[in-house]
Amino acid sequence: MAELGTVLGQQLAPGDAVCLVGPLGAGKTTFTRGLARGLEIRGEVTSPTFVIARRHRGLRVDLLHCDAYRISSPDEFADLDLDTDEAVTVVEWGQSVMAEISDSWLEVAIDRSSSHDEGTRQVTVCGRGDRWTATQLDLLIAAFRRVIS
Amino acid sequence: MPDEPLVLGIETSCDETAVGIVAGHRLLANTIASSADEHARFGGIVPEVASRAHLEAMVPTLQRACKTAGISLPDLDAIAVTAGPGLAGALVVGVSAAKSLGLALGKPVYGVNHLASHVAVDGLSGSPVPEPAAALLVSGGHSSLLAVTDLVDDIVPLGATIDDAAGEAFDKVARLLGLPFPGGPHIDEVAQGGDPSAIDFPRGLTGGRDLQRHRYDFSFSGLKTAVARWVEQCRAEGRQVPVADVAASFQEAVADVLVRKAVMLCSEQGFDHLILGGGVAANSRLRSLAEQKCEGAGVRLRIPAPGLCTDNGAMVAALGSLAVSRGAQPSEDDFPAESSLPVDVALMS
Amino acid sequence: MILALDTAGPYPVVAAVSAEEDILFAGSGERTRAHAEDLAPLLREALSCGEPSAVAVGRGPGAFTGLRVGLVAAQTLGWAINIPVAGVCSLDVVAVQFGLSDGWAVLDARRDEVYLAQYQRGIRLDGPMVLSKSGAQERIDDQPAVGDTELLRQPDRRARGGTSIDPNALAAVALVACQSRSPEPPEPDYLRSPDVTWSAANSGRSI
Repeated sequence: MAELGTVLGQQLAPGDAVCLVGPLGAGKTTFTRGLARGLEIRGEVTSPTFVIARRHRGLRVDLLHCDAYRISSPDEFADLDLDTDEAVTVVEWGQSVMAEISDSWLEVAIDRSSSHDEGTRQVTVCGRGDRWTATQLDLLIAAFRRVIS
Repeated sequence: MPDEPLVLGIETSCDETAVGIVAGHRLLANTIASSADEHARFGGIVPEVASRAHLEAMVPTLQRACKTAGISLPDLDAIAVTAGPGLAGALVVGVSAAKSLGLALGKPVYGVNHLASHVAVDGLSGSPVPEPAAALLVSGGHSSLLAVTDLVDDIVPLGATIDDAAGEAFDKVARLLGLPFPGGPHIDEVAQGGDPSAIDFPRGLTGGRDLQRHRYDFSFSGLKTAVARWVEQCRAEGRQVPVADVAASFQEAVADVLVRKAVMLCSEQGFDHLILGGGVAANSRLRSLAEQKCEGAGVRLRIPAPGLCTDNGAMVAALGSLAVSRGAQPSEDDFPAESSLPVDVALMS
Repeated sequence: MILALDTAGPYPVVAAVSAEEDILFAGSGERTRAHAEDLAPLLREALSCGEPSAVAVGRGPGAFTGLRVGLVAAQTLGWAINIPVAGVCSLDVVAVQFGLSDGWAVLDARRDEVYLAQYQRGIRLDGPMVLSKSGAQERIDDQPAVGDTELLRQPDRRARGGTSIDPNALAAVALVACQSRSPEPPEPDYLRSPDVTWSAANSGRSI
């Protein structure tokens, strides 16, 4: 899961936004930690749950890591007044707030599939808006496949 | 420098609007207005609700604290305030109030670290904080092991959670088990009737290469996942979830890892004292296990009174008072509130 | 001396004005998202001009976090030195700084909405309220409007307004507020509740 995050992180630029979807313990934190590595972020990426949003300084770009679980509406997210334009923003439980951050984002859904082995995860990526073209998504998925195999 | 600096401390890093007043090591007032009830129905602290409550409660809480302490404002030697870490929008309310109070009274203001304050509060329990000492800080937002050589300018983080904080794991597991927020006290209560050895949940970063690489670090994300999977499995098989056993076994896993690593740190780094602080230090199993293991290892355990373990203003005042008596520079007018303030910055410049 | 402050806009603004209505100090911060940092140095400068006998503070509407910085500072200062604290509507300041007599003052409320209030002969007639841009355009129609009026013509949800509060206008509004027999309370005018979804708010409300 971390390796997939790293692959994605390497392709992200300031202003990009990623929405992470998945049940408790699916691996969202692990994925984000890998993504941070891909962005060349310094230090540990600890859970943002308590502070809602954590900014991690990076050599290339900052990572803004948010947990929107306790954010009830897009308006409340906007009130956090986060500077998302200059950073890569990753939002866990972010389905309802993404439109506040960008017109376009990548949705990564991670699911523990009960029909598989304990450690197996199903990852679905979906582009919203025009930042992610079909070709780019295909390339991303191909890169994911290389890491898995 | 006054022998016993009279300091007023303000704390608004989370959902408690708290004001404490101390004179040196003497606690004069510890006043708290909490918006916790307003958050319970959301299953977690809603930042905007907390920040609004802070603004409403600030002046009334200041008033009550001064009245309780029986002091008048001009008597104060300094103001101290939590500058971080915490919720950004909540922190700025306290920081702005403190700066304004300092300007109005012509008194110095110290922006202090919330985590260092959790250790400094131990100095209000009758004897000064032993320095050096190891400190284990566990709360909803933090799980850290610290080497405290000088509370005001030499705190070194030796370990911390690499993912979720211990208190956060309590909240999330409580959610899985259908227990209300905040999870800590509810799991503690339910666990009383459960078997802590019923389920062998994983102890993160305690073996093999993990232990070498993350000797004093914690990880509770895997434990949370393990509990989630265990509960799901149980439900999938149509069995009723043994909530008390799950709670007790989960709590045991958390307490075990925390205490094991803290005691290991004390013996390996030669600390005679271990200070336990933060909201999770109110957990009964953590307290009893820490007492037992510290005694076995010859480590003197210090746990502040429960009312001083959770967030409060007295701890902020206690650290401020130490800063004054040790001649530390007050913070500049434009010091910021820092949501992710690192633990080794005890005072803001 | 009257001390006036406002943190409803992008920058903190502070003014000090004498009983003779001379402006002793007028200053603004220069960084956005830095109210908690930049207000105190301005206050120190203003307080070096004399002893305040009253405080006036902008109660918004405006971005919540910044708004609270000024309000808690004013409340705490008033309590500490035992002087009265009056609230002023930040839109009133905008109306004064643009010399508006009849018409509307408008400020950015973000997410495709604006804060606005209506004035007649310089007196607030209606508002403050929060409306969608289209709702605001409908209300204002062809009447004069000042402030972030450009925003009303920009359909982009993330377009931002640029009006900063002028400390001199703030001083003028503060003088009136502190002389008033029944000033507004120094409490925030959020106009939005924290825990509900506001899709329904676009129809507009006034307080």
